[in-house]
Amino acid sequence: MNKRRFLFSIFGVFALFVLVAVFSFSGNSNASSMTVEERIEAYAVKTKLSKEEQMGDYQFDKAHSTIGFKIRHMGLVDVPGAFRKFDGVINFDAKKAKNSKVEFTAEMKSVDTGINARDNHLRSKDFFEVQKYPEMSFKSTKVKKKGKRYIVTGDLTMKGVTKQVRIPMRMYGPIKDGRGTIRMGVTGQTVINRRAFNVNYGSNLPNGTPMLSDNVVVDLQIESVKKKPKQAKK
Amino acid sequence: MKKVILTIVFALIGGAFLFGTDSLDAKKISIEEKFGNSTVVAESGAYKFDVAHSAIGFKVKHMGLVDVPGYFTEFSGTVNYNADDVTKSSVEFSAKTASVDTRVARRDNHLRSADFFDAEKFPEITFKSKKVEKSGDTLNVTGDFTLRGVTKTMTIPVKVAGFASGRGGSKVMGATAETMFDRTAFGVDYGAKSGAIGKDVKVILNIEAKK
Repeated sequence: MNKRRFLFSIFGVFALFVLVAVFSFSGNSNASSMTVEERIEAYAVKTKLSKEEQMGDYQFDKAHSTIGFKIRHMGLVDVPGAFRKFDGVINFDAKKAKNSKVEFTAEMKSVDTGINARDNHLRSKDFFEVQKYPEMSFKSTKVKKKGKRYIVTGDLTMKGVTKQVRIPMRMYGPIKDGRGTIRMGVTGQTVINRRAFNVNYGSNLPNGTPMLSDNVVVDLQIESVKKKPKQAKK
Repeated sequence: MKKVILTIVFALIGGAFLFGTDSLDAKKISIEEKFGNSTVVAESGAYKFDVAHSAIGFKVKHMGLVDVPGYFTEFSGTVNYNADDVTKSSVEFSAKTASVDTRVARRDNHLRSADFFDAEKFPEITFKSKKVEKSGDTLNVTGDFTLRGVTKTMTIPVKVAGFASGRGGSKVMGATAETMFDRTAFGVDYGAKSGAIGKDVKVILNIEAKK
């Protein structure tokens, strides 16, 4: 009996080693992104605020938000860009999610892809025509909670064209930071066809692949800060 | 008896993990078969990173909420692609730490300081591959990654997006990769302890390279 027990514990130790090895192996690959997600969840739960505290208007924190996009070049890789100047507000209703609202604007000439010459080209008539259409805007018309996600439908206006788009979003927080500021994170990704907004520039490669894809991935990483109630004037 | 049950549970979990990875590999292979239909054939040779269409960037979580991205605007790199035996390929690249761009000038200056990159003392981040292994449609590229004077072995799972012929017949290849590392292992600790600035750094590599 003792011998059997000994054998089992040896096996147990071995099984543990296998587990540790598998875990540390997966830690090196993509699986590690999951652990980060879990960590965020844990973080959010620890700092849970009451619904009253969560509710209200949240102003986009410009330093920590990104209104970005990605476009595929030659069918190969995604070239990213973002707008440097933007503003937005999330009105979060913690009790009735569908009453929440999101709206933002971005200054088209603030486009930034890391290459000056390209940014200038994007500002021109070939793309955004920023002198005539200085702003892009989004205004939600419907918010639907679906599990952990929020499906936000709204009007996206760019280059004078308004189209309805659906952006699935996820919310992190709200949390209270060390200074007592209430912050929330909202991420969203959707795909739009740039031709629907009259952005038609680009030719095809000899094999028919477009130089610049029609589809543009819109990537929103929004951190916003709850506005403090205005002090009544005395 | 308790011990025995525990052991069996551990063994089962371990087994499930092993089988789990097996079925994942099977999926990858079928993707690769589809990928094989690409019209432009891969060609061996040295491909230089096309700075205008490549991104060497990173993402760091702020207060556990959202990813804040940053990029290096100055970098260079070469892929030595071996079409006959892809595991004999190699890649190396370097990025200028002073060229960091997170779209907030004040933050970029802070990143250049000794709190983060210490750009004056450590002007470059480098990666140099030592080994390439194929696993389904992923190339696991293992090499030396140097940041702030600290060199560590890193494995980057790379997906070759394909090859294309540009105007004038020039060959172009695309490759993307994402990986993650703990910045504190390289002595970049600022803000990590409080959790305000994530210690895990997501690496984004969107590389278009020209022969």
